[in-house]
Amino acid sequence: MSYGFVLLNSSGDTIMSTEDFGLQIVDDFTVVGGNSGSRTYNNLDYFTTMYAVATPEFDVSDLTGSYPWRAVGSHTTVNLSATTNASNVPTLSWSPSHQNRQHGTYEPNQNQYCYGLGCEINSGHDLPDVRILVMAA
Amino acid sequence: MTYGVNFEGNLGNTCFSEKQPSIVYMGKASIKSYGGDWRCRGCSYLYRTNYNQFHSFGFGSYCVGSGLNQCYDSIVGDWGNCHAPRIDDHRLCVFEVESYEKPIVFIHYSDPDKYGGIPLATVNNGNTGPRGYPKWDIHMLLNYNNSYSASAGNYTGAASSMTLYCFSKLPDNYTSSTTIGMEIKDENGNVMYHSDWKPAVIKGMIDGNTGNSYNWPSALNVYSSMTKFAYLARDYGRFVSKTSACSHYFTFHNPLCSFRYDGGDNFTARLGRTPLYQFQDWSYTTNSDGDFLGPSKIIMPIIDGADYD
Repeated sequence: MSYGFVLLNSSGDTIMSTEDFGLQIVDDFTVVGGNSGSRTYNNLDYFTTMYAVATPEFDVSDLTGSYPWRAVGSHTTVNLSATTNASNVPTLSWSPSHQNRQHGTYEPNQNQYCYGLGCEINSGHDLPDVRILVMAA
Repeated sequence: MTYGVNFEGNLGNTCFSEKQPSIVYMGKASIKSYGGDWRCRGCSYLYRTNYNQFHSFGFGSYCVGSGLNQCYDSIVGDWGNCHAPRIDDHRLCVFEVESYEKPIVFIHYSDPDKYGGIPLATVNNGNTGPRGYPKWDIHMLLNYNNSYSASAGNYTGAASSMTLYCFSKLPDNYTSSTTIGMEIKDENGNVMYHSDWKPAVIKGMIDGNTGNSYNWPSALNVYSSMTKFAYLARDYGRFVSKTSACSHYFTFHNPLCSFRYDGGDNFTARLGRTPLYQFQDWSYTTNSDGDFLGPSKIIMPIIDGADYD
């Protein structure tokens, strides 16, 4: 190579070089499903791009119980968006994702409209938490 | 920048610096345990109704024993479908890995046309590994082809076909026992990078919307050199929960179960227990009940698992 950097391990294998694309962790946190919020990151002046990934984290007690469908039946995640201010400081925001428009009575704890026996069964079963992983490169 | 250390790639990207901790390789997760068969759980079981929809019936008012013959499926619109084959093509599998923080998991599927899996949760299991870091359980919903047979599906084959490459934030205050290598600390003395740890090298980044033609940042397109395509594990599908007077059930709408890498910048997403579907099949926006199923934004880092074997 005529420019840039290359980092080798003791065996001479390339660990990372100018040709590569690395990621650093900016933030890793969990929010309550159905909630909204935002965080601002002031220490990203080296970076060109910020990536955020939201992943539902289901209640494992439901996964191993008699009715695993309860765990995956809560179904929702969050929408993510990002803005930057005049100083190019990014703010990541999250808000509840799409809500079903099922006919029936709206059940706020489930972020869905429902009625009948299913609602009764599922009452008190909250939305899954959502892990938000923020990375930058 | 006015001070500090920043190793920059050709794309202007920061490969590592003193500003943020690197993502480093912790190891492969190993299979720990399997869950039970989901086919029949009294009046609650999971079955497949259409290409990409899975229903779970439960607590029907008329449920008796293990039968559901009096329940009416409002999606399918047929009483008889309650007798849909109870196929053993899903069950849980718990993988385990030692990781400094909750692991960031990339999955490679060796047989993506046949087997897949959906990540559901990652939790600290309370144990500590030999390096002194916590052990984590990664709960996967296995997805395996059983050809609509009532016999047990090959769930062990499904689990063994996938490799879970686990990464974490670089451990805080990491102290190396070696005297060679490179270490970068931030202004507070925290280790942001250390050559003892293999960093996550991203081979590409899928950045697009389901339902549209996905686009590839061409500058990151280095897939031609990849041998073990692995993507950041999460559920990229969406769930719709439904209820009726008779039952409560859910549908997986095109959960992403695996990827088949086709070379170059081509891949095929495998969704649910289905034949192969492309991303474009995520295009529908509403169903008859008005549930919103519109496109979702996806950000999907890609690594080559062979870099860590």
